[in-house]
Amino acid sequence: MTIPILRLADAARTALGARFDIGHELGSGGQGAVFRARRHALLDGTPTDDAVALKIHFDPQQDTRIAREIAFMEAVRHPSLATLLEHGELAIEGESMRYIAWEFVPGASLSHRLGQGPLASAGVAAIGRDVARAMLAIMDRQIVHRDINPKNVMIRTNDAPENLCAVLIDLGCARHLDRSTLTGAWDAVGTPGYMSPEQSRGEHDLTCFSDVFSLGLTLTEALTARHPANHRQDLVSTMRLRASTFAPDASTALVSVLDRMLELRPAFRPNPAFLADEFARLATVL
Amino acid sequence: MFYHNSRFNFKLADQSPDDIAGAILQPSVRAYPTLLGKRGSLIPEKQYSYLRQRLFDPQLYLADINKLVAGDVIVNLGTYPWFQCAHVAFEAKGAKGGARQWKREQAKAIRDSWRGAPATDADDIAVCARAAVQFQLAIGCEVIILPSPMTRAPGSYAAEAQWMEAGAAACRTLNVRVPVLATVAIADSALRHMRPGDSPLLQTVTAHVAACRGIAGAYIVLAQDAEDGYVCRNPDTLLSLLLLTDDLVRGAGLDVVVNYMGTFGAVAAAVGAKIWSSGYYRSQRRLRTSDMEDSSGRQLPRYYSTRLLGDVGVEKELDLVAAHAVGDRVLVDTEASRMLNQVLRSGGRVADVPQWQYRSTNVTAAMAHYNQSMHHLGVALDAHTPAERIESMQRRLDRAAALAYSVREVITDERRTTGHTDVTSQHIWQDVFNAWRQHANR
Repeated sequence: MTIPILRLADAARTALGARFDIGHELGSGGQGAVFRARRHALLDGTPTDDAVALKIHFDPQQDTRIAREIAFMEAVRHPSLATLLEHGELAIEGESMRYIAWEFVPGASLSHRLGQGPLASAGVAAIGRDVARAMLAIMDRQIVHRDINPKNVMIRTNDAPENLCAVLIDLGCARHLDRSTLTGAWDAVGTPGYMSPEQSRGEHDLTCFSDVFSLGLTLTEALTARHPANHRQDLVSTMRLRASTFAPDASTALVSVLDRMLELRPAFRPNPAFLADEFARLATVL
Repeated sequence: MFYHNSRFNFKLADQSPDDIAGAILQPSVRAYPTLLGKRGSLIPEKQYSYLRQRLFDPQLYLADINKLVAGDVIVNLGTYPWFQCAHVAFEAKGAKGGARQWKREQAKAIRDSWRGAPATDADDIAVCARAAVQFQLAIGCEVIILPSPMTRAPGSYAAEAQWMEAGAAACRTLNVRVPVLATVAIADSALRHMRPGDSPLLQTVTAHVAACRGIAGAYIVLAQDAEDGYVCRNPDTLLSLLLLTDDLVRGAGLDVVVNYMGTFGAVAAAVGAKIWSSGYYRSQRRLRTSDMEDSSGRQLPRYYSTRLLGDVGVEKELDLVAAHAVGDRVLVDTEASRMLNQVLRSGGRVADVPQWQYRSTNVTAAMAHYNQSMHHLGVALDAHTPAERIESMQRRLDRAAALAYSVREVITDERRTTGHTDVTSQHIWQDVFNAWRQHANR
């Protein structure tokens, strides 16, 4: 699919009609594009006024994965997870494309935020708290996110560090523990540089501890504004990375939690429930 | 803490210690009506004090055994609902001939309906897992052990994880108040050809147990299918057990119970396992599927030495060893062995002590001695702090390895070995323990 973004937006406007005001592009990639939009009516015509991030998926090979993400997110509601508002199909230039209207999270991705420099320890703890809570919510549904990284963590506000609110987005790579995998044997899914050792080996039977590792890397990067292994997955999978080495000036209590999250053996990593409580405590005391 | 790995006969050999901490019960040796009384409680609880603290292993990992060769075991297993066999429920009231007669009548139906595999449908798994939990609640277990299939290949853990989650969900629904353990049952063939320290399977297993909500720990059973012998000697299998235990205890802060590893269970206890379980007979010391198919086992006495950490053959070797200087380092005094030891120390022979003569079924004293020895070993370990336990086990293994070398020299020089004396496992256990200490930096 090679429709230019402007044409795609125009085509989406036509297809969705007056229910949506489609604004500027928020991002795009090989599989889809996201637009800022305003939704004026629900599918049944009931008036509403929602700020949305409208994602249009133009790679039909991703249909199963998208359907899975929709199924996950329709089942989960949590303040630290983007809310799925609506989904459907659009006919654009003779092709059927899926769209998802997500709750628009005002703010910026953590990746974008780190372009301005490292975060204070309290802010890192606040992000850890929120993402750990989001992980708990999906863990209750036996879902593993598999793609936690700074691009998939949205920062809601730019308030004081301890008031930072983070939202975990994009469950496109997520996997339900009971369901079959979409990838072949030993194909790793996720973002290189942020995958746990077991994920990078292509193991399918991942647990929340894989997400804990990815979050540990993400938060370590947030402390220093640089990736602890320069995005090299081979180093991430084999070296015992320590936040205490990369951020020697950060809070000892915080880096000791991060060090445990980066343990190579999953059982030695703390569980999301512990992390949610510990980061909540640290966010208030740091 | 040492628990007795129970068999079909609850009565322990005379002179067995009366303060063994507890027991692990299995369905493979008993049909359910012989466990549950008319009021639904455990039948022999009041008779045998060691049963007051009890665990019940649902043994779902045996669901794939072959009904053509393990028929008797299958009839026992098939009476429990999580194996999904067809049979008429036992009615205690008015049952002619009691539970045994009922079992005989149901045997064909059970064998015919034996599936040879655990349930795979999500709804069936939920029903089976719930039934296993309910049964354990009914017989008053101190801990609930969730059923799990056997892991026979390193590739996928999805089925085991599904059973674990179903069991944990059943415990939540049933408002279970006692600790819940996930069964980790792995065939040794799945642990070979991969350095245990780098094994993805072990990490997957421990991660799943640690991630499962409401789980207090794991009940670990490693099946000794790829290795013959009373004692596990494969370094990969042994180190895998220690790594599993350490990851779960020190890493995830969970409890571990180890069964079917003989005295190596005590080594796992030194690493952090809370309970280890064994028994005199081969089928109590190891889990080997082919044992289920073997009805030809003979009951013969063996002398267990907790100093040697192995058996000494009673037929020939014990006389030989006792006659050398090394003998005094091998003999271990228990109530059941004291008289034998006195005779041997004063130049007598095993044959002079009727309770220890090498005859079929003459195993009462040997069993009692084994139970006492394991109990004492368990008590000695429990008396230590975790750090002391490691050092104490190190010393014990070092001594046993040196002693095994001396004993081997004696029995080899005399060219009189029956193969019943274990002198080869000690240095392997020692090496494995050292490898674990190095890996764990302990």
